[in-house]
Amino acid sequence: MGAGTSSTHLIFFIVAMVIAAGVAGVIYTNVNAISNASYTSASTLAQQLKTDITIINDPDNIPWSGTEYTFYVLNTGKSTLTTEYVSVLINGEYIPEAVIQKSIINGGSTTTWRPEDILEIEITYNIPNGDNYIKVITENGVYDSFEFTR
Amino acid sequence: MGFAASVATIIIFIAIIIISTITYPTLVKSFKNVADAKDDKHDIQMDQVNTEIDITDIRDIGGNLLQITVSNEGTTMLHASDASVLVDGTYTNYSVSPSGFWSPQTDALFTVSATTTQDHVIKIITTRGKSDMELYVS
Repeated sequence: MGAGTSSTHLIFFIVAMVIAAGVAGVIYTNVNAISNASYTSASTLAQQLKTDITIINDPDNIPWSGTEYTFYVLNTGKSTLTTEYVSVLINGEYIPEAVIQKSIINGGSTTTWRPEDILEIEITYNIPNGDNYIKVITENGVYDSFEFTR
Repeated sequence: MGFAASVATIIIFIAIIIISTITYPTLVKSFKNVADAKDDKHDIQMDQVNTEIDITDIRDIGGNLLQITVSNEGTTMLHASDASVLVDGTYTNYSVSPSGFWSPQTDALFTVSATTTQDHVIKIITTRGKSDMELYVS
């Protein structure tokens, strides 16, 4: 085998190693990305499964004062929620945070909403007379809707 | 197969083994998270299905106090002191006996403050979200 042939073999060998290492790197990057995404997705799904809320108002007796209405939402799930990320829709219309006051009944914290705690939501909004519905949505998309009359 | 191809195959094979070793615990943890959450969901639903309460009596006990007799009609143990009482739709503080465990087929006596000369709608809600509502006629 001449020096030229040896050099060619050496170059082929190095190129093969580089390609193999490159392929291994690409596989690692992709599998790692899929694995991380799967973990995040599983965590989100787990949180959703553990979350459950129930609006417990009397549908014919929503406490109100002027245009301020009070709704009670019970955390009937097993996960601790954050009140800051709770959104409210009334008759399909998003209610801005500025007109909502949230507090936990008999609770120490106003932001941590533990299982079995009741979140009191006071909304200043012009709710029309007659049949209405409210939808309360938690941070992970789990919601409860409730029909009531004013 | 030449030497270079053999070594390249071995490199990729070893890489796949290492990647699998790194990834496997993450995937197992993911499946475990979801499996645990499914168990929790199942517990939540079982508790809700097995919980049932019934307001059997509301009476004026004087001093603008109403005593509400509520029967645990379900098959699970409840905690009466964790229940919620709405009087005419408004959350109201109450006292209850027994304040601890509330066994199936037994009564809990809730006492709330309300004007007894007026009618009231009383709603009792358990921690599982199951409730019962009754009208108090003065």
